[in-house]
Amino acid sequence: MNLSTRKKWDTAAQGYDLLTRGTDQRWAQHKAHFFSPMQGKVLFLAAGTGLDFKFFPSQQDITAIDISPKMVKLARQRAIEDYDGIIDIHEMDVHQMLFPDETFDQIYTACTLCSIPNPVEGLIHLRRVLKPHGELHMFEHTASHYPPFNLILNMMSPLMSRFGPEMNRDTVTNVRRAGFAIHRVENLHLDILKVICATRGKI
Amino acid sequence: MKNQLYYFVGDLVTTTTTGGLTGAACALVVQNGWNSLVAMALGMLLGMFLALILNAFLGILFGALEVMILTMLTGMVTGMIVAMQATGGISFYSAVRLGVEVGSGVIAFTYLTNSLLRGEVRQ
Repeated sequence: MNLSTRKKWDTAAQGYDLLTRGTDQRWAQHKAHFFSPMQGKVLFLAAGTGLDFKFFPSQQDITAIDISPKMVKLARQRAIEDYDGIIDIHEMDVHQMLFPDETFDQIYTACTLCSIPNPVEGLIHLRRVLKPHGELHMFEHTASHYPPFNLILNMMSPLMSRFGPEMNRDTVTNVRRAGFAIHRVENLHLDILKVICATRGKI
Repeated sequence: MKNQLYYFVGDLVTTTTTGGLTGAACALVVQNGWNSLVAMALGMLLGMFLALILNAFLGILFGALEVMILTMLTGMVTGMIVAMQATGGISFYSAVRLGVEVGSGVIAFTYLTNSLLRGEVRQ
């Protein structure tokens, strides 16, 4: 397990809800729409404090993981209070997932690939646990290809990554490099916040 | 978006506040007769510093990522422009007004760019 990543997110856990409050509310409608196709055996990567649980469609049976024990503790409480289905939350590193191959029908991530130490390697592990025709749904902030936004993200990334996420990852390219077949990319805010839908691709 | 007006007003407050404060700071720090390149670099750094502080508060209200883009862009551009002007002499009021104008320009530019980039991307 990556201990430095775990420590970083343990530290962030206490103020996480406050710091992400604005973004959480701003994109609430989009997130509800994003999570609406959830069905079958679902993995939710990096549950955080469980802020996204309220957007999940009701009565689902979802498995969630997070690397931070403090986040997991808060998320478990929220799963009981905010969700009418089952959310089984595990403390687990995406690079060392204990699930057997081809376990899940769908995998969802929300602002997660910015925080995984090795994003392509993490995505390869996600691909491993996804069923052959399984789907990957991502709600992510990424690098921009356009100035001056790319300049700002590149400047902010070294500072932000000390306390939280990296700001300048080319997640679309990383998803392709991990072997997924991308079916849809939709920009929600500039070319920074986007929804990415992919399938496992050729095996 | 549920409260589009709320977030538009929030973004406008964010950029104009960042611009106004950066303009004021540049007018107070940069002196008449300074080397314009040094002043421009200092103004940009000053703007970025103020943007970081404002981002911590305004991000909670209007979205951390969206506010970060707006505050940083406004802070950098305002810092450079007002600091350059200040090397030739600028009143405090004019510096603040120029900062607010830059902030308004930044929100217009960002919203226009967003309208061009939003939507499905052809793969």
